[in-house]
Amino acid sequence: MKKLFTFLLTLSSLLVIAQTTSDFENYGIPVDSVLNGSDGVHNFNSGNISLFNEYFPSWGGWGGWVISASTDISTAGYTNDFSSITGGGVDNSLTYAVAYAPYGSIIKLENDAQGEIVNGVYVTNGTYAFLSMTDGDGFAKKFGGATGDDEDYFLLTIKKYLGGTISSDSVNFYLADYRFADNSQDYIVDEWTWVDLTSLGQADSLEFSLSSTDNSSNYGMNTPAYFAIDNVITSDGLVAVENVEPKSLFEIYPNPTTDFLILKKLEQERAEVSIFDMTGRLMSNNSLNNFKNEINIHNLAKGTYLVKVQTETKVASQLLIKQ
Amino acid sequence: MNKIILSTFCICIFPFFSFGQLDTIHALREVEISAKKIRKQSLGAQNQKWKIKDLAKIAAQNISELISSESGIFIKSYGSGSLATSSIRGGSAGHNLVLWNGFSLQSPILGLLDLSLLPLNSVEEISLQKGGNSAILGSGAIGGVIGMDSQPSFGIHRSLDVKSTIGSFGNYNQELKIGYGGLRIYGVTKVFHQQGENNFKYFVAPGFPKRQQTNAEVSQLNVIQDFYWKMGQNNQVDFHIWQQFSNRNIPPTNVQTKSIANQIDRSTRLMVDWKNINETYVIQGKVGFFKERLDYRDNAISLISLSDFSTLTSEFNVQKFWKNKHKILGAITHSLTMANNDGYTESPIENRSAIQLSYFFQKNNYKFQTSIRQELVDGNLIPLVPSLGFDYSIFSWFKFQGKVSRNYRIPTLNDRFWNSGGNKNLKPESGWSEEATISNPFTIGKSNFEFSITAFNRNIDNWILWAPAQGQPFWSAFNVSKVWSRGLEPRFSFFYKSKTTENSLAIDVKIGYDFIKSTNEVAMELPRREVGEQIIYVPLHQAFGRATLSWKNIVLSYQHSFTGKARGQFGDINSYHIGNIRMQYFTGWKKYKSTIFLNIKNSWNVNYIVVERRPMPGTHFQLGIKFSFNNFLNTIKT
Repeated sequence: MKKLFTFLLTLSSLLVIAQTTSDFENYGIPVDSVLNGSDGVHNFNSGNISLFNEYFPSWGGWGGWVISASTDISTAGYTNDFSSITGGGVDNSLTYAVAYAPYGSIIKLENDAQGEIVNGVYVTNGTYAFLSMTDGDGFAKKFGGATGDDEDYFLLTIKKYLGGTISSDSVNFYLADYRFADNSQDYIVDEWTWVDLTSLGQADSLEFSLSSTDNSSNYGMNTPAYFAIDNVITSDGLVAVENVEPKSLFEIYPNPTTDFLILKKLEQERAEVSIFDMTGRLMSNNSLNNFKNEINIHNLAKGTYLVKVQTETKVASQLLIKQ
Repeated sequence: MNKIILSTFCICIFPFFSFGQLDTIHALREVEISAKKIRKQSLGAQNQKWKIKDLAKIAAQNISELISSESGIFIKSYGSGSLATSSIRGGSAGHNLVLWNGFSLQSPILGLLDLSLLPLNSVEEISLQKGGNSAILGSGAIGGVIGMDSQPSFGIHRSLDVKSTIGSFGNYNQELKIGYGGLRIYGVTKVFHQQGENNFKYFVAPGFPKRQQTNAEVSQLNVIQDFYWKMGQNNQVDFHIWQQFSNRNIPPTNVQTKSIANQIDRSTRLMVDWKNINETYVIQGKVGFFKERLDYRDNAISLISLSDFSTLTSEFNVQKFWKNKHKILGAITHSLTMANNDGYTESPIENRSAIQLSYFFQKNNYKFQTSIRQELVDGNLIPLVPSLGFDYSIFSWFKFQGKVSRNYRIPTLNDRFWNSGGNKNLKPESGWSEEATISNPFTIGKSNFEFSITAFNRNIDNWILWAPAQGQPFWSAFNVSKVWSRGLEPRFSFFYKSKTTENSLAIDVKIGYDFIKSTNEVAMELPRREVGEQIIYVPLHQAFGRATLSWKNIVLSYQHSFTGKARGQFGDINSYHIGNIRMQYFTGWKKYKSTIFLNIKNSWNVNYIVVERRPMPGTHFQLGIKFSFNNFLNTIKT
């Protein structure tokens, strides 16, 4: 995290590279519902990104992105094409986005994020793709093949556009990897996994494309071309924020704690909470949508962490001890 | 069908007639046989025929197995009891026509027919015409035509055939055929039932245990009623009813953990055929009504896919003869298809009308035939298709045949109406094909030999492929490709019979080899195509052979087929050799005859696949018994 933002102290305020998390919770959709463009809305905005959608009323199909709150992680096949295998968003949030990317999907950076570095994104498999790779279906193969020894993979490649030019550099993330000599190490991603995109540098938009070892000459990639994202963290450039006392901005309890903490936001402004370990590594990042927020930290190792809450004008930090 | 009826009648019954009795029928036979040549044969092209009653030497249970083992036609089989389609001379399944008594059985929705659903004994004769024949038979007759023809056995008073087969993997077949009638009427009722578990174990990889196939159960019931009625001296009316029910589970691929998918096919086919037969002309009218329903469900993915179609087809034709030298035929056909499909936004109605003219000329040792056909589909003219064929017997031991034709295939309803991606502006696939054959039949003593070799060439333009639509996340049908097919088909046959009596020793050998180069001529990114690349599922080399030894009451037969390496969807498909053995013993007493047979299929226990990811069974067996009773009319025997 040290690399991600720079503190420039002034008398009573500091300049930071502000971050915005796009977590899609702003849509407030009910559990097990989806925004797939059928209501005529084909452009989704969250934080400083926008996602595009196509919807085909005649057959109910969609392309691009959907905003989903589906919890169905058991139904195989294309009828369950808008759920993530986690059944929810990052840190048990409700909402996330799913892409159908047979020929690539674009995330456009908006507002202050345009032309800035993108910190990263949480990624996991769509349920359709996960179950297809696990068990195979009429078109696609079970990863590993009949013997389990096939060196299959399902790869997400992320590139950036800047000034209308696509980068040659890319970030690769294996949504499934069966190339290990020891088959017990083969995996298909089934939880939200952070993908650091800072190496791509400044960007106007990001392109996500999928490739697989399971391809046919007639139909191209057989593996279902779906994946899910959540909590896209964008940088918004240098902004001046006032460094304030924690108690004027938020309260946390219990502290020390074990598996969760309650964070009370004391201002009406939109805010984000970030938790860093003592080396400065970002451990989690969430929007604070309510005044009282429960944050699950059972995945964190025991130790001391820094909880930072930031609004558009203020920032405050407090130590947290996990026992 | 109709044109063969009397000829078959004659072949079957004439030995029992005294020559003075049936002059009229004799005369009709000649007329009929002449008429038959115009439409039933493809002059200049290669034809094969199998009388079902003569198929004791072949270890085949359905038409796909027969064609596969006897003709070198590539059958794309998805596994035991599963879908099987044909590829003739490098075409796809939609480039072949399957006719039942002259009317197409192809699904207008899919443009193909599952050959595994056609029991061998559902008709009396099966034929195979290789090469294009659209000028006579219309859309789809590009690679070849498989004909299934019902034929009466006038003169049989009562007949009964009962056959039961038990096979590996829980397979059971029962067949019942009851014939009844007289000189002017003949009815036959056929019932076929088949069920099987198909739970065979298949090879996975060296060092890995075999895997047992699951969810591969099939059951199938066919009930067929044929009725033939000769009215007076010149008229005959035929009725055919075919009811079919098939219930199949769809097994998993070899890279799929399990499947619970199921497919049910139901079909009803009705046909009435009338003809008026005279010395110098034949008038024929026939009407067919086909209704089929396909119900595919996969509860694992909450998928229910329903489709059905109804087709009403009619044909009227007049054939005129002049001294058996000149013959002309004029035919008008019309078909009306109505379809429903979960994948369509509308219920399409397709009207096809066609007019066809043929002229046939025969003199001494050469024959010539030319035809032309114009079809109208929903008001749109299909390209005019002509054909020209000849047959020249230069010597009794040397024959030269050839044919040039233009052929076409109308897009399927899925190609036109599927939502999304169906393209109503598709043109028909069409192109020219040429072929020539030289054959050399000769006899030495009691042995008959024939060598032949056929060379063919075919170009198809506007080949329909589904490809990604520009800027859309779905695929659409386009007329994007061209395919060039050419090849060589050498054949050799040998037949020896020691005596003409039933106790003779007979040896029957047939060997064939196909070299088929069928290449894409348009490069594409997706679907991936390169210019000059062999199209998928068309082996470059194929060969087949059969040797049958008959002696007294015993028939021993061995079939061998070689299928060369082919390109598949995911890579190359290895070549394979398959052997089938059939042993048969029959005995009879007066009007009764019984047969016991044993088929040993894939006798070398070869691990092979025809379609990628679809395993095939190793060695398996079929043991069957057949009982027959025939009581011919006494009046005919005298």
